[in-house]
Amino acid sequence: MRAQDRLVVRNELAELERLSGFLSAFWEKHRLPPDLELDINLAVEEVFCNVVRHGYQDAAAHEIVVCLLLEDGLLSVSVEDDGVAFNPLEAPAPVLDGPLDERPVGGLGVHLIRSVADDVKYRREGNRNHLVLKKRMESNR
Amino acid sequence: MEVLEQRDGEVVVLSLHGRLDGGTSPGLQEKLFALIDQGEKRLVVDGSDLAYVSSSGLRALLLAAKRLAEVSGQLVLCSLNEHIRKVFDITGLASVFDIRGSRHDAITTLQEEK
Repeated sequence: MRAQDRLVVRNELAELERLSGFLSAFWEKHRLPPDLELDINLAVEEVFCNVVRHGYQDAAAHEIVVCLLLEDGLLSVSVEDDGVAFNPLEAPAPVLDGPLDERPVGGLGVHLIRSVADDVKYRREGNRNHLVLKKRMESNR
Repeated sequence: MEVLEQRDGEVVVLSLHGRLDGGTSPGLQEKLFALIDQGEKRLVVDGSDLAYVSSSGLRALLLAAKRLAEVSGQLVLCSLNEHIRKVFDITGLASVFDIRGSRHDAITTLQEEK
């Protein structure tokens, strides 16, 4: 069984609503495990927010393309943008312990992406960043 | 996301309704900081109707907790659903936040702090 869908969003945090609506509709259409929807929504949001916050050095509108591919129970989500070369996977290791005053406020997004997805890969092609995360659609329940 | 503010004695309870994500977190952070700047020191964030949190939401809560600690205040979270609780566990933040199972427990915890 193979299914795919594509959404183009602007590089604005306000687009998060359209993004989750897009994921929700795909989930419902293909009857994917409900307990995995929030996980994937979280990972996609973290990728998207990184692109919006760190991907551009101008104030112009840019398009970010999100593609979903479901094949034999494996979901691939790709996020493609034309921002500066930015590999979120090279972010420094997060701080996950210690007292409140020693916890940095950043660095958790990529950790969440890696924790949720089965596999995450980044590549740069020409002037475009491509991040692909994959997850088997097997319920945790 | 809607934020409902209620007071129970010296404790201010913010009930969140919806999703705490990159778009809605700045609003919550602003609200929390405004309360702290007004001198509020005992804050509860009630997640009974909160469906989802991302790292942006964690950041807002962490910044508020740090600011409160500077003025000897305290932030308690309550009623987080399974998914949100998992996000706190994955990021190690479950050990720096006081997370209670109910609004009543959260409020009582702060009222007992003298």
